[in-house]
Amino acid sequence: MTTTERRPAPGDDHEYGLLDIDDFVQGDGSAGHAGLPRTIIGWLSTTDHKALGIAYIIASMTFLLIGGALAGIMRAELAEPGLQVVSAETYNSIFTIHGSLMVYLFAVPFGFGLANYLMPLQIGAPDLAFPRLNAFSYWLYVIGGTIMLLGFLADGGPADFGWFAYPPLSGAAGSPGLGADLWIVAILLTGTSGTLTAVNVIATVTMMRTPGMTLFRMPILTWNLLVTAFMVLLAFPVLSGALLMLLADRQFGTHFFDPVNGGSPILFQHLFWFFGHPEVYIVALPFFGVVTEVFSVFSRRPTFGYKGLVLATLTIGALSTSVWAHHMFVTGEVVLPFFALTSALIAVPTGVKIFNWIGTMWGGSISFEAPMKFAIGFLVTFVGGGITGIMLASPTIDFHLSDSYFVVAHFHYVMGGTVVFAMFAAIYFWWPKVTGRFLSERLATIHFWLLMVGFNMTFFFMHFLGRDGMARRTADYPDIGDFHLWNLIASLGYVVLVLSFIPFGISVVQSFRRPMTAGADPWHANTLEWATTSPPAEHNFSWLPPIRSERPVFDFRWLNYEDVGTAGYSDAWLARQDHDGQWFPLHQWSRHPDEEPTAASGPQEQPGPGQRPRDETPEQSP
Amino acid sequence: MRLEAILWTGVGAYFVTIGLIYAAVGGDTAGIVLLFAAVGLGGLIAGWTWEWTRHHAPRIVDRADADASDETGIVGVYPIASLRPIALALGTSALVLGIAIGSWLSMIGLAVIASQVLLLVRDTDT
Repeated sequence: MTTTERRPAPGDDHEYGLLDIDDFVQGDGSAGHAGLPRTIIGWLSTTDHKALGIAYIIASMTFLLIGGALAGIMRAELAEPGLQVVSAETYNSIFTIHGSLMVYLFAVPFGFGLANYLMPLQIGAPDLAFPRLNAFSYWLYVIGGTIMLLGFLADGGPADFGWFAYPPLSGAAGSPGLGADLWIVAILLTGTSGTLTAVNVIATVTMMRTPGMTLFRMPILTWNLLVTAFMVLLAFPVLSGALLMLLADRQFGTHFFDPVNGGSPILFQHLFWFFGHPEVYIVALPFFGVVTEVFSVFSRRPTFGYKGLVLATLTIGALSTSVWAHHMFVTGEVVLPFFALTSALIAVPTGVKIFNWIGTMWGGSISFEAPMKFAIGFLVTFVGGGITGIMLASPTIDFHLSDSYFVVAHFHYVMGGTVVFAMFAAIYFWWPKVTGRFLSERLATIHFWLLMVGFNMTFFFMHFLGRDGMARRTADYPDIGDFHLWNLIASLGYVVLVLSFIPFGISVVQSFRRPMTAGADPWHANTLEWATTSPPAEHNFSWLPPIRSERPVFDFRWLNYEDVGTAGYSDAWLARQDHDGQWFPLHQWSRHPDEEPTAASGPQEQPGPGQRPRDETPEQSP
Repeated sequence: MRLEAILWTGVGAYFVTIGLIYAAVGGDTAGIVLLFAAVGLGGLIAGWTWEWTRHHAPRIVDRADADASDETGIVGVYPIASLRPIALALGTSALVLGIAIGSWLSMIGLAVIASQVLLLVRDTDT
């Protein structure tokens, strides 16, 4: 490693060596939750992307807890053959609402929470492109979720036709109660919310990146959120259309899906799965982005094959829209070779991703802080679920395993474990950024191992149950073979899973009692969200480093070591000296005319070196 | 913006290709329609981005050598906190929920939506 002359930097007391972002950002991270609302009315009316991001994450985790509690009833019911904890009808409602909460109201909105909080920070933007639309989207989601749960108070109980609502079971004759209508309305509202969020994400990424942040310098998480947003635009309106048709069948006597009067239930299945399979990747892609960031930071290596990873994401996005009918193999109404081939093909870009993640870690200086543990947990779980996915892409295997517990195991590995492990990787990784505090490493280790053991106890043996013919969505089962043993293990595993959340809860409480000592860049990370205070100030940035690669914060930290960072980075830094100061007004934001001045808008009133007064700056649109 | 245009063109091209293949192998009508609708979705955005590229100089953000100093000034006016979004969401929910519960609820929802949209427009004017 060769070193070069130390570059000029703000402040004159720097030691020669690595630069510290904290010396360059305003504030010391002890100013509290800058920009976050402090009152109930404030939270109800906020349009701030960080506040809404936090609100999304809290709401989605609340739905996770409710869905998890419903799963507990199911596991209690199935712990022994012949047990009747709840009636068969109630069991049907419980698995329907459990699946709906987890898929529609937890997994996808958690990704939207990440998009809200992190994406503007990662591209150096002050907010999302349409803040009020963003708030509207959030409230549609929360109200939609509440409406679904109100089904428990409806006469006849909540919907009980499964989370994909196939007619004729979901039709007026099959499910006559109000609960079914509430379910449909809830999904319509949350679907609309998702569509509007996707518009916001695409507009923000396209129009609001900071100078230097070209498309191929965006963090992989932002790339994944962009592709996810496109898939949402493609898939969610189709689901909304299908559900509107279903609602019309139920309420207005139309016959879209009524086979007696010329309608086609198979049409609903096509429409649903044209949404449903991209949905799997809509859920997964943001979490792929999360672990990509985590692997790189905790391996002290750049992401291996950055462009290949982007291409793999684009390919997954494209292929995922062409595989929908592999969920319908057993209908006998689909072109088997086409969907078998496209379904198997999707393993290729997915394999590329796994290869890239391993390549990122390979030869790195790996450390196993909590985010890395959970990211590896994600990798193990995802590979497990992916392998069974390839098996199910084969029609001959699918004919045997369709609607069995094998499928339940498969998608809980893909959509359950993958999401939960990566979700905790994200929480442990960005917690210091969001709160300025750390979570306990010791408790995180306990959390991780309990989750790993509990998850695999719960879901691994379901593969055997399905292979041996146990059907999903049954409230009881005969005591044959090892059915009882495997179900009992799964139910005990559920208890371990629940226990795993306790150390996490303790860690959260402990964290809020600790001082805010995290600083701007506690992990020595790569991307722009680490180039601002923790928690970030209102509208995010008062300063940004030059951007010459997908790792601008890394490049800046290693500015004094010319051969380490991106070539030409020091030139970009020196070019700043040609201007009238080292500080530049970047992405200034103006207050609304009605708004009172705030601390964050202060610097514009009193420009620092290199800043021009606001009234002298030419107005530009992004 | 050129790269974005290429990206969205790629989306359209992919769905043309896969749509034609699916039609050729005897795919169902709904699937074919959905795939070609996706061509329209990608094509619409691709068309806008190409049109934008044709009529505008490359943006600063598309330049690899750009830095913060190249784009000083106000990039946007951000809205203050507002109860309009939540009110609008409540109105929209009432409108849709009314289909299941009763048209009276839809009427209330419609009134709330209309009032909030008008107020949002007024906010924008000021």
